[in-house]
This record gives sequence, structure tokens and C-alpha cells, in this order.
Amino acid sequence: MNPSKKPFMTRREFLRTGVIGGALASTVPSFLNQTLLGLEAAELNSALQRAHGKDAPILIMMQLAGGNDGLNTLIPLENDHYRRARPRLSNAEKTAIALEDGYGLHERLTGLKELYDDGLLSIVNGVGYPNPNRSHFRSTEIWHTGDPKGREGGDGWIGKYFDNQCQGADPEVGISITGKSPQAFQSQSSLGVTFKNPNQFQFDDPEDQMAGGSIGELNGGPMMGGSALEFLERADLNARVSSDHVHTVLDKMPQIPAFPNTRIASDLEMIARLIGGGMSTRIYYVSQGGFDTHANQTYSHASLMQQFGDAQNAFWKEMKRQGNDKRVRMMVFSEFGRRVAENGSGGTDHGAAAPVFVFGNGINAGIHGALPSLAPEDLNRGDLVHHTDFRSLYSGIMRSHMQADISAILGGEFPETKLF
Amino acid sequence: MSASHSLPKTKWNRTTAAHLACRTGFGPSLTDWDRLASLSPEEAVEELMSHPADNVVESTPEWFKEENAMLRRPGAGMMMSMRELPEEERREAQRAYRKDMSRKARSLPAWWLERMVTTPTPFEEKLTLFWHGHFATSVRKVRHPTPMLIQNLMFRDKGRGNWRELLEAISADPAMLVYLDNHRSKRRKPNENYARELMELFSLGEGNYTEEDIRAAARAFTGWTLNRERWEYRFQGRQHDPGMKTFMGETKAFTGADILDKIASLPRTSEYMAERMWRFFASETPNPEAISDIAKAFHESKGDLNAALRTLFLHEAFYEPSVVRGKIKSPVELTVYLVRSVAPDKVKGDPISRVCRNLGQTLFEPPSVKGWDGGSAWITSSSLAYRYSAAEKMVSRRNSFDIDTLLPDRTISRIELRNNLMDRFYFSRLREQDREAVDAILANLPPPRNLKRKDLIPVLSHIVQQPQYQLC
Repeated sequence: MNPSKKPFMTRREFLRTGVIGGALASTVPSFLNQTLLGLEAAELNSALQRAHGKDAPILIMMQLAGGNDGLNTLIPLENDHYRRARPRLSNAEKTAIALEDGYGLHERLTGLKELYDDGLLSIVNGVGYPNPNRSHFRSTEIWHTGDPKGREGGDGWIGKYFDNQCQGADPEVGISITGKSPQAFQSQSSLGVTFKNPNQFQFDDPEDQMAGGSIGELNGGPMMGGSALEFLERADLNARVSSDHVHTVLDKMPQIPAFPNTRIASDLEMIARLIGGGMSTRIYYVSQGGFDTHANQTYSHASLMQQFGDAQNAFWKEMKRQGNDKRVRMMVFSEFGRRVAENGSGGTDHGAAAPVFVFGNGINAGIHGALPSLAPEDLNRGDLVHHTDFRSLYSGIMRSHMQADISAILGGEFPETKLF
Repeated sequence: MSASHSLPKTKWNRTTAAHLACRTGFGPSLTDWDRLASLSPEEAVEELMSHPADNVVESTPEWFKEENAMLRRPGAGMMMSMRELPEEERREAQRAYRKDMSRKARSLPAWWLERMVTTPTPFEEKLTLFWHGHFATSVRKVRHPTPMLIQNLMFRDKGRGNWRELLEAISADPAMLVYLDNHRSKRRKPNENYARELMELFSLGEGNYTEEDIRAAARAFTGWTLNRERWEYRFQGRQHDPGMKTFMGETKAFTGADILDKIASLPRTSEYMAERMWRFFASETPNPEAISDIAKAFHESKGDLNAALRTLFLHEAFYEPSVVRGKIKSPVELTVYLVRSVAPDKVKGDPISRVCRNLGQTLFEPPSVKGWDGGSAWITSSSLAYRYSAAEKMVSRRNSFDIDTLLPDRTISRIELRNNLMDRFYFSRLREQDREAVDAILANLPPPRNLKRKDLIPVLSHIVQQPQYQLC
């Protein structure tokens, strides 16, 4: 176990042969033991990944965090209820980019319009869940857990997919380009890694680590601090395993100049580089923030739309260039839409049903489902009423694209839309 | 609290004393630890919670002291009028104004971190940090640093008094009025943002009110606005909706103050706050019995925050093995503990602030009105890697520590040196394998009497780059 210049491979080989196969095995704490056995299985799994070559499907989940104003994103044209409810904000209709069937895209979504024309975009109207919750945090929990009761601290729907159907995978089977791990990734197996800035995602001085605590920790003994320490030691090991993979891939995939200089564009660029470089990751997660537009939203929402549309446009051009546009799908959701009527401060308060965007080459492009009625008598406390349960989109895209049945995870079957 | 639930004196020792000092502050001082352990739990809690005598305003940045003095002068206004200036000069003046704002805003976290590192009464800082996360308000939206610091001082003033008074102070707080848009709320079209978060996050918790309650409270708080020239609360009668409202099943012409009276009287607010206190000071995992005891003390004392906190710190459950060293340090805690442990001659807030920012905790800039999630949410693959490398840099930097402070007595053995360092950095001797790992490094170094400053760097680097170092 002489640390070589490639710390990770050495480390993994050391862990496998030196620990699992060796005399220390009986003293390895159980969590580590499982992780290490997982690593062995991961070897087999990555062989499978290689056999799949560049065909393995990839899903990207993106959240427009804060509650995107769906009605000013996909704008109903010539709708009297819309105009009456939004004397000021309905100005967006005048400059909207006309699509079909009486809808227009926000004028700053030129990037999205191009993808729409190329058949890469479908928009599902009226997505939500029963008894809509207007709290950001609870509603985000609901979308992330796939459970309309939204248990606080519950495992995520993607995390459950990792637990049930990705056993033995490397931790980077899921990658989130965010500052903190999304609840959607929360799992029993601790699969899924999260980083925002890859420069901060590396471990220096492997020799010191080899000589120091990491090996010493394999001696078992009483667990002071209990589960928090177990959690940290697992996170420590997973991070070391995945950090090297990520850097190997990023080193061979240079930055892509065509991406705009915005935060969401650079996050999507990171994903494009990881996909292009051949990461074995199956699910990516990314988030664009700032959508909680309670006051003076005209300008701020326009800027968010611009960033969203331009980033998507750059991302899908890059996917086409890489030849990955068929194996990648992206679903873009928001925890809720906004109230139909504008408020007194030039903004909108928390609402309910909203459109979901699905991108990819080969989807059933276009606009799906009717816009829920904006007539005051049809609203629920001033908000749009959903007709499509978000879980039917989850199960649909997982079945048709990822070849995975997640009905057990969602606790039932949901009628699928003919989107995918 | 029933006496049977408070920590018996027989369980008061160096471990429990260190735990209390960690959670009420940033760990015991090494010279005072034994004395603390020799007190009774009640005496120790009393001492650690005692009010500091220092004048906080004196410690604030110079620009704030000047503005604060100016704001207190009658008739004075803060903002210079730029409207009369010609176009070009006005733009120039606005640019300069914005630049000045952002310079001042940047000085806020550095100021607070320096205070946390150097204060002799850390409980005030810990408690203020609790309220900052609870009533989360961000300078990114408020944009002006002055009201942010005014709010911070308010937490120090009211943070261990009466709950109803604190609720009123935060509802009328200039930074909060801007942050949750209540200053724009209009009689004809009330803005629901503050009313919703007041109940969801600040006082009751989701599921303990209805959408109708939110609409009623939003109407009751119309007219609560501020004077931006003086950064003070102002009631604007013509924007207030005086009509009948139904709130929590009661119908009358509720005012904002009536809403707060109602909320503060509900047993649910005691339970909610007891749980929030438990999560911040004790553990991510709720202990229903302890939370119920804290809530009871809070409710029976009619919202005495000090009584609730004292019940928490004296509770037997607070000292359970799963709670002691079972909390993941926030970035602020990680760095403040570290700097206090290496004890440099001069403390500079800016570099500490940069590390905290990179780790996702910029003081005065919580990510949302929910504050920081805390606990295991702090740990991601990359945040752990960055925690290690930042801590390593903080101990290996030039002048990061003075060897005579860390090693005052050169006649000690390697084992004693190891114990001293573990006490200093972990406030615990941890597990056998943790001690052995430190011993393995010390074994390759000269004996303590011959150690040079640079020799200690690999030991300290090791100590601070461990999963164990993330816990307190």
C-alpha cells in the first residue's frame, strides 16, 4: 500500500484488497464495510456502463426555485380573465412570442423558441398535486419526495430510486450542481454527490490522508457522537471516491465558450462537460433561483426568463454537437406557480398549478394539456387548479426514458401523459 | 421542568461542562475548564448565560457608529437627495453611493466573526446567531447595511426577554419590513409575504394555520411600514385596513398587534419555539420529552425566552451521548472554533468570512427566509473537501498560531502534548484510533522540548482535517 501518484486508484485497490480481503475485515465498522462492498459491486457496474457505451440514458432535473410565474412564462393570448386579473403584468402579452393554440412565450425566451421550433421542447400545462401547499419549503419537499404529504426530512424520490435500483453504483450515479444537496437526492445509501465549484471539490495531500485518520479509523471501536460521525465518515469516503472521477473527466473536457456568463448557464455547462466526458452519472440536478417575485416583478422576471432560455439554448446545442441529445432528457419544474391576480406591489403571491418543461430529442414536442381555466369561479383560492399530477410526469419519464418502474417509490400508479 | 428531568449533579463533569460551553458558545477556555466542571450545573448555566457588560455599539464598524449617531439626531435624514443634481453628476453620485453600500455590507460579516472569536461572553453571539437564522433577513434584498446591523443589535437587546415583545420588534424591524415586502403592502391589495412567514417559519410552523388566517393577518399588518431616511418603523394609517377580519376562529377588527397577541398566546407557539431551540442548540433529532418540558416552561412563564433556554441547558436529555459531540458545525462555528483554538495574536474577520462564504454561510445573507438548514445539510462531497483544505490553510498560514501559546510547558511528554492538543481542538479525547492517529504523527517529530513551530503544522493539519473535527 504504497501511495502512488494516482491516489484514488491506489486507495480503492488498497481498500478492496487490503481491507475486505485482508485480516482487518472483521474489525471494519459496518457502514464502511457496506460502502467497501459497494465499491466492489461498483467495479462490476462500471464494466456494465462501459458495455452500454454512450447509450445509457441520462435525466436532468432542474428546479426554478421560488415559484415561477407560469402565466407570464407561457402566456395565454387574448384571455380576458388574464388581462383583468393582471392589469399591469399582462403587458407581457403584447410582446410575447406567439406559438400555437393561443399561447405565447415571454419575449425573452427566444432561446426556448428556437428549441421549440426544432422539436426539442414540450410544455405540460396545469401540473400540480392535490391540496396545493403554498409554502416554498413544504411544496419543494413535496416535489422532492414525490409524496404530497411532504414529510420533513424524508428521503427524496431520486434517492429512493438510487436505493432501490442503483445498488452498488458509484456515489456519482447522481450529481447535483448546487451549494447544498437537494432533498430529492436524500437516500439511505448516501449515493449522489453535490458540488458547485469543482476547484473546491478535491482532496490535497493524499499521503497525509493515507497515513493519518482514514486508515486509523478502520479499527472499529466505540462510535462517539453516534450517527453524525457515521454520516461524516461515509461522506468522507464517498467524496474521495467521486472527486477523482469528476476531475479526470473535467480535465479532458475543456470549458465551452458558447455558454452565456450566468450562473445557471455555467451550471448547465458543467453538466454538459461531465456528460461529454463520459461520467457514469444517470441523474443530474440543478437549480435556478430568484423566482419568488412578490414585488415589481416585470424586470426581474424578464431577466430570469432570459437567463433560463439562453442557458437551455446553449445546453441543447452542445448536446447536439456531442451527439448526446437523444440520450439526455431534462425536466424543469417549479415548486408552484403564482397567484392569477397580481398584488398591489407589482408582483404576484404564491400560487398552485404551473407548467412543466421537458427537453430532449425524440420527445413528443409541443404544448400538452389545456391551460387550467382562469375564470374566477374556477380558481382555488385565486389559484389555478391542476389537472396533471407531477408524479405522472416522474413515473412517465422514468419508465420511457430511464427504463425504470418507480411506482413502488411513488406509492402507486399514475396515469402517464403521452409525452415521452 | 420537573426536577427528575434536569441533569443530576453526579453527571456534571469535564465532558458535560465542555458540552454546555460548546453549545452556549464556542467551547470552554482551557484555563477555565476545570473550574467550570467544579460548579453545579445550575451555577454553570447561570454563569455562561450571564449578560455581558460591554457596549456592543462601541465594537461596531466606524461607519455604523457615525450613521447611528446621525440617525439619532432629531430631524436628520440619511439619504442625500440626488434628485436635484444634473443627470451626469447624479449617476456618478448613485454609483458612488452603491459602491459605498456594498463596501459597508461586506464589513458586516467580518465584524461579527471577529466579535465571535474575541468575545469573553460567547453566549450573546450564539443566541444572536440563532435569532439571525430564525428571523432570517438578507442584505441582498434589503440592500442597505445599516438596518441589518440595527436588527442584529435588536436581537442582542430582546433575544432573551419576552417572546411577544420580540415578535413585535421583528414585525416592526426596518430590515424585515423591507425583506418580506410588508412596507409595500397596500390596503387594497395586501402583500401576504410577511404574514405567511410570520406563521410558517417564525412562530407556529406549517400546518398550524389556514390560508384564510394568512389573508387576515396580511390585512392586519397593512400600514406597518418604515421611514427609510431614519431606518425606523412608521405606521401609515391610510394604508391600514381597519375592517373586520377572522383570524384563528375569532372575528374582530384585528390590528397587527392583535395578531401578535393571539399568536403569542397559543400553546403551539411554545412547542414550535421549543423545537427550534432544541434543533439549534442540542440536536437535529428532536427529543419529544425535552421539547415538551421546554415548551411548558416557555408557556407557563408567558413567553420568557430565558426560562425556556435555561430549561433546555439544564435538561438531562441535552447531555445524552447522542447529543454530546453529535452536532455538525456550521461554517461559522467551524471557523470560529478553529481560530479560537489556534489563538493568533491578531484576528482578521475578512479571511474567515471568505471561508464561510465559500462554505455557504455568509452572515447577514441567509439563502432564504428559512435561514440555514444546518446539521447534515452542511455536508456535501465538495463542502467536506473544502472544509478540510480551508482548515489546513488556516493552521499552516504564517502567524496562524504562536507555539508558546499551544505549548507553554516544554517539559511535557508526547502523550501529554497529544492530550493537550485534543482538548484544545476537540474538547474531547475521542476514540482510541483517533488518539493513535495523532500519536503516529507525533512519533515522527522531535520531542516536545525541541519542537519548532513548523513541526506542529502537520499535527494541527491532521487534527482539523478529520470527520471528527466537523462535530461539536
